[in-house]
Amino acid sequence: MNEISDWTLIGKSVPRREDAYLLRGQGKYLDDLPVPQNTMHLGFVCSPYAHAKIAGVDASRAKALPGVIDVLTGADFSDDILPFAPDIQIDGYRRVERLVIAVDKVRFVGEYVAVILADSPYIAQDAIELVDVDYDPLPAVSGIEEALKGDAPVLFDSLGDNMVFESHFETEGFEEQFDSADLVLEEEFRLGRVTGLPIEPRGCLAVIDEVADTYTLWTPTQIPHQVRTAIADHLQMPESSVRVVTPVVGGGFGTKCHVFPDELVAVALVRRYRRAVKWVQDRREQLLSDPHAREHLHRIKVAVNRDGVIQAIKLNLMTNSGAYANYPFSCTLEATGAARMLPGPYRIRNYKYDVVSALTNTCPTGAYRGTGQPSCFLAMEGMMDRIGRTLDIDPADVRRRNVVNPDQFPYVNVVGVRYDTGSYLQSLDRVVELSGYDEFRARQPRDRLIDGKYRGIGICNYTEVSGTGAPGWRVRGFAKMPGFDSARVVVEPDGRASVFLSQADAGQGHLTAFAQVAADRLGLEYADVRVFEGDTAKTPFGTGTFASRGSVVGGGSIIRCCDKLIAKIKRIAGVILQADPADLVLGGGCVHRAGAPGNSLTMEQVAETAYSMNNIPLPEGEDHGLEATDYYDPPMVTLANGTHIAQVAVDPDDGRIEIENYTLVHDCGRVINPMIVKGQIHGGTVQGIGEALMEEIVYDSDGQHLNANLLDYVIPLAMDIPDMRIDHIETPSIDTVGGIKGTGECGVTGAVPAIANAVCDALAGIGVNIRSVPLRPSFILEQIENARREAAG
Amino acid sequence: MSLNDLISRLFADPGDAGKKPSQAAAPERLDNHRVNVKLTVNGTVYEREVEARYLLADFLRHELGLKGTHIGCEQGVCGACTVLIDGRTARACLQFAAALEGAEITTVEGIAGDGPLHPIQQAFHENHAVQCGYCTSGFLLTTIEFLKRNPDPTREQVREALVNNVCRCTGYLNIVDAVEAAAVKMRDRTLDAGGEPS
Amino acid sequence: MILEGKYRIPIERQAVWEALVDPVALKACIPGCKSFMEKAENEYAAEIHTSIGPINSSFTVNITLSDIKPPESYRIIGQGKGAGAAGFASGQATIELIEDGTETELHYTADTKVGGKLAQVGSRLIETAAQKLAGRFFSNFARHLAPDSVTTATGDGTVPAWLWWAAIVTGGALVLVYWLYA
Repeated sequence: MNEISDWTLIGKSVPRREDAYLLRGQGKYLDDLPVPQNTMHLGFVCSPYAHAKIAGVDASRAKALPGVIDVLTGADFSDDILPFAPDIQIDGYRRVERLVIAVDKVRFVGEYVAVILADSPYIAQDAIELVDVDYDPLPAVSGIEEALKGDAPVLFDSLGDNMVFESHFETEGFEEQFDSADLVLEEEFRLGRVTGLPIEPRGCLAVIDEVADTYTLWTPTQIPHQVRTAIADHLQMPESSVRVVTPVVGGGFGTKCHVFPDELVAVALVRRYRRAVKWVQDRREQLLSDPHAREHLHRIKVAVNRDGVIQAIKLNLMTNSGAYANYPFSCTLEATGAARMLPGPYRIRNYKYDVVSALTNTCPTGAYRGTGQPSCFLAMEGMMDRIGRTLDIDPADVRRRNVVNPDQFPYVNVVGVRYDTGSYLQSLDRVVELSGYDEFRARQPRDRLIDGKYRGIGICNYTEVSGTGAPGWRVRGFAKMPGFDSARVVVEPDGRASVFLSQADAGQGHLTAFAQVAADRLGLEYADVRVFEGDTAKTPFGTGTFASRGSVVGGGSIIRCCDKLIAKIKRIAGVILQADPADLVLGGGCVHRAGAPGNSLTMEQVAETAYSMNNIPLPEGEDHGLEATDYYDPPMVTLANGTHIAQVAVDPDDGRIEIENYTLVHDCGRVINPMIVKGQIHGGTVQGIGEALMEEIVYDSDGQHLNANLLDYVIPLAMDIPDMRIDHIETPSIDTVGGIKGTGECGVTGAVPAIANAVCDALAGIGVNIRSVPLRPSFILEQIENARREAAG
Repeated sequence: MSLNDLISRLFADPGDAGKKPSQAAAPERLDNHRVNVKLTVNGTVYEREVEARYLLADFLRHELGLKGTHIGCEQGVCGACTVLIDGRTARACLQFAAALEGAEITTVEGIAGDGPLHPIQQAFHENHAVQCGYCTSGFLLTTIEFLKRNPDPTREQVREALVNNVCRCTGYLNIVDAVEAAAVKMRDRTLDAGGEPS
Repeated sequence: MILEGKYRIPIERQAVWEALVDPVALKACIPGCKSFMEKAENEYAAEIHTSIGPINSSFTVNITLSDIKPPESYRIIGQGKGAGAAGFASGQATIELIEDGTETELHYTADTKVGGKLAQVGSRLIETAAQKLAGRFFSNFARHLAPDSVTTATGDGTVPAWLWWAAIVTGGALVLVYWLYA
C-alpha cells in the first residue's frame, strides 16, 4: 500500500479542471439548465409585516392576469406538506414548526404568504403585485434582549414566551476555582447579523420523470442527500421517488446547506400539477429570507492570575434564533458551537456557560462560514488582549502562557473535545515573527498616534472545528445529522477511474482535489480520474459539504474506498502475476511487485479481467466488476488551527479603518492542494474583513429589514482588501484518514477577532473600548468623539 | 450610478427629464408592448421581437441561449452580468434589450469563442482567480476593457478597476494577481504580433 | 422613524389652517394627486399618481384627523398602501400652528412606520425622497396661498407631518419602481 510520503499528487497545486468551463461561461448553474416545455414559473408573495395575522388573501386580480396558471396559499398545502422543522434533540430546546407558506400568521418580513404559478417569470412577478393580502399587524420584536422580556410580543402562543433554547455547562467545583483567582475581568461582546451572500441566488427546478415515476429536484444545495430526506419526510413520499441534483453552484458559504420551504413547495407542485416547476430568487428575497447568522451577545468573565494564566471562564451567551428553526440546524448550531468552541487553543480547565436563544420577528438564523467561531474568538481573543492590558503583559505573551503546548497533545479540552495534534504555539510564534509584531510594538507610541492616524495591532489565535462526525453532531443535539460521507470508486473497463462522492461542490474545486486523492491512491494518472458529486441518484448517501468537512470526510472516504478496491485489484493481479497480493504495489497506471516494475499488469488489463472482457479468468470466488463503496464517519471533530495578525490604521477624521498589514499562519494538517487551500484562506479572510468592518443586516425595532439590497448591505470590494502574507504549518491529524484537517472556515474565524483587536488596540490610547462588530466609520467616529468628550469633560 | 445621480434622476422635475441623457432609453409602457430589435452579439447579428421591458441579461440568456452572463442582484451592484456594449462595460441587468438597436455586444462566450483561452482567461486559470465562477464572466469583461485602456497598470489601479465587480469566494487577491499577469501576457502578445492587441 | 421639524409660512395662521384642512387646496398642491376625497367627517382618501420615465404608479393614502383644535393643532393618522406588494407606510403625528404676527410657524412631530419593499430597498433614500417631494408640495402650497410670496424653511425639516406619508409613499414607490424596472 502506498504510504502518504510516496504520494505524488497530494500536496501539489494542480490547476483546477473546473476552470475550463467556468472561464468560458459554460458552467451550468441552476438558472442555466434547460427547462421542459410548459414549465411553470413560481413567484412567492412575501409578507411586508414582521408580525401579523393574515385576515385573508384575495388572489382574484392575480388569477385574472393572462399567463397566471394559479395562485395558492398556505391552506392549499396543508394536506401536502407537513409542518417543517428539524429534528433537534437536546435538553433545553423547544421545537417550533414552520408552515412552508404561512396560514394564519406571519412572523418575519419575507415569509411566504402565497405562491404564483405562471407561464413566465415576468408574469409571476407581475402577479405578485396583484395579490391582496389583508394583514392585521401585531406588535413585533427584533432584538434578543427585548424578546426575552416579560412584556415582549410572543411569536408562538403555544410556547408562552420567546425562549427557544437554553443550554448550561459547568465544571466541577467551578465557583470555588473562579473565586480563588487573583482578579476577574469582565466584558460584553456583540456581533452584528450577517449572511453568506453567495453571488448566485438560490432557485430550484423540479421536473417529473414519467418513466421512472420519480421527481428530480435541481437545487444549488450543499447537502443533496439531506434535502432528499427532508422532502420525503415532509411530503410523505418514498425517498426513492425523489432525486436531488446539485448543478454547478455559485458559492455556498453555509447559506446553501439548509433545506428551504421553496424546495418543498416545488416538489409538491410538480407532484400535483405533473408539470415542471422553476423558481429563481432575486437578491432582495435572498437577503430577506435566506438564513442569517451571528447576532450574538457574549457576557464573559475571566478569572485570571497575576501571571496572566486563566483560571476560569464564565460565559453568558445570547443568540437570536429569528422567527423559526432553519432545517437542519436551528439556532442551536451557533449557540452550542460558540459556547463549546470558546476555549479554543487554550488550557481552560474551569468553565461555565449559560446559553439562551430567543425567537424574534426576524429571518431565521442558521449556518454561515465560521458558525460560532468568529463569535467565540471575538470574545476569547478580546479577553486575551484585555488581560494583557490590565496586567501589563504583551498580549502575545498572554496567549503563550495559556496555550496548549506541543508536548500536551493529544489533549482533551474542558468540554470533552479531543485535540489530536496542533501547532498552537508554533503558529503564534511564526506569525509574530513574520508580521514584525515585536518591531511594531516597539515603535508604537502610548497614544498610538503615528502620522496622524491611530495605529494598532491585533492577534487571533484560533482553533477551527472541522470534519465533524456523528458523535460531534449528536452531542450538539443534531439527531438526524448523519456525520459520515461516502464514496463509490469504480475502475471502469478501460482502466480509468470514476469517483462518486456524497458531497456537493459549491466552488471549492472538489473535482480537482478529489481526483488528486483518488489518482494518487490508485496509482493512476490525474487525467484518468473523474469525480462526480451532488446527485442522489449517482452517489452513495452522505452528509454533504459544510462546516469544513469536505476535505476531511470526502478525502477520507475516497482513501478508504480506494483501499478497499485496491485489495481486490491486488487479489486479481496476484493470481495473474502469480504473486502474493501483499507484495504488490500500484503506480504509473500499473500493478507490479514492489521493486520489480518490469513484470506488471496495466490497470486496464486488471479491469478487463474483472469485467470479463479478455481471456484471463477471474480468480475463483471473486465477483465481477471493479468497484467499491465505503463510508467514513470521522471522529467527533478534528481541529485545524492558525494565528492571524492584523495591523490597522484608524483615521480620526473620517473613522475609516485601513488594514495596513495582514499576516497569517495556518495549519490544516495534510494539504491536498495548496493553491486551493490558499484560495479558501483568502476568501474566508475577506469575508471576515467584511464581517469586522462593514457587513450588517439591520432590522428596526418593529422587525423591518432595512437593507435588503446590495447597495446597503455592504460587502468587501477589491479596494478594501490588503495583500496578505500567508505561511503554512503542516501537522497531520493522527485521528483522521490521511491526516487531513478542514480549512474552509479558518479565514473568517481568524479575521474578525484579529481586526477587532487591532482596532481596539489602536484606539486604546484615547480610551475607546471596541467590543462589537461591524466597525463602520460612523460608529468609529462616534466612539472617538465620545472618548474625547469624556476626556475633556 | 452614484446615490446622488439616482436621487436626482428619481426626483428630477418632469420638465427637465427630456434633457437628461438617459443610459437606457426606456420603452413607452410596462405591459406586454413588443418591440423589434436588431443587434450584434459576439459578431453575429440577431433580430428579435421582444417585450419592451425585457432586460438585456434575459435577452442574452433566454432569447440567444448565451447563459454565461449571470444575474447576481438585478440592481446593478454586483457586476456578475457585466458585458461590453460597443466596447464599454455595462450591466446587462440594467439595460433594456429594446433600447440597444444597432449595438455591438460582447459576452463571455465571445472572448475566446471555441478557440484557445484568451490570455486573460489563461491568467485567471493560472492564478486560481476562479472559485465558484459565478462572478467570473463579469470580471473577465471588466478586465478586457480595463487593459485596453491601461495596458500597464499598477496594482492599485487594478484594484480600483475591479471595484465594480463583487466576488464572494476568492477574496480578490488572486484576481488582482491574474489581471497583473494578464497585462504582461497581453503586452507580450502585442510585441509578438508587432502591433495592437486584438 | 421619528421625524420632527418646523416650517415657516408667510401667511397668517387662520389661512394656513384653512388650507391644511381644505381638500381642494390640498389636491391642488400634492404632486400627482388625482383625487382627495372626504370619506367621512375628518377622513380622507387621497389617490396619488406618479410618473417617472415610463413608469406609472398609483396608490391611496387614507388620512384621519383627530384632536382638532382650530386653528392651533390636530393629530393625524395616516395609512398609505403602496401598489400591491410594494409595502406600507403608516403613522401618526401632531401638527401645531404657531402664530407669529402675520406669519405662521408649523411644527410637527411624526412617528412613522415603513415596511415591506419600501423599507428594504429604499430606507436610505426615503427621507431624502420624501423631503424632495414635500419641498415640491410646499412650493405649490405657498403659491396656492400667496402667489407672490416665497416660503422659507427653518430647522431640519420643511414638511408638515401628514405630508410625510404621502411623500414617503410616493418617494418609496418611485425608489421601488426604479429598482425594479429601471
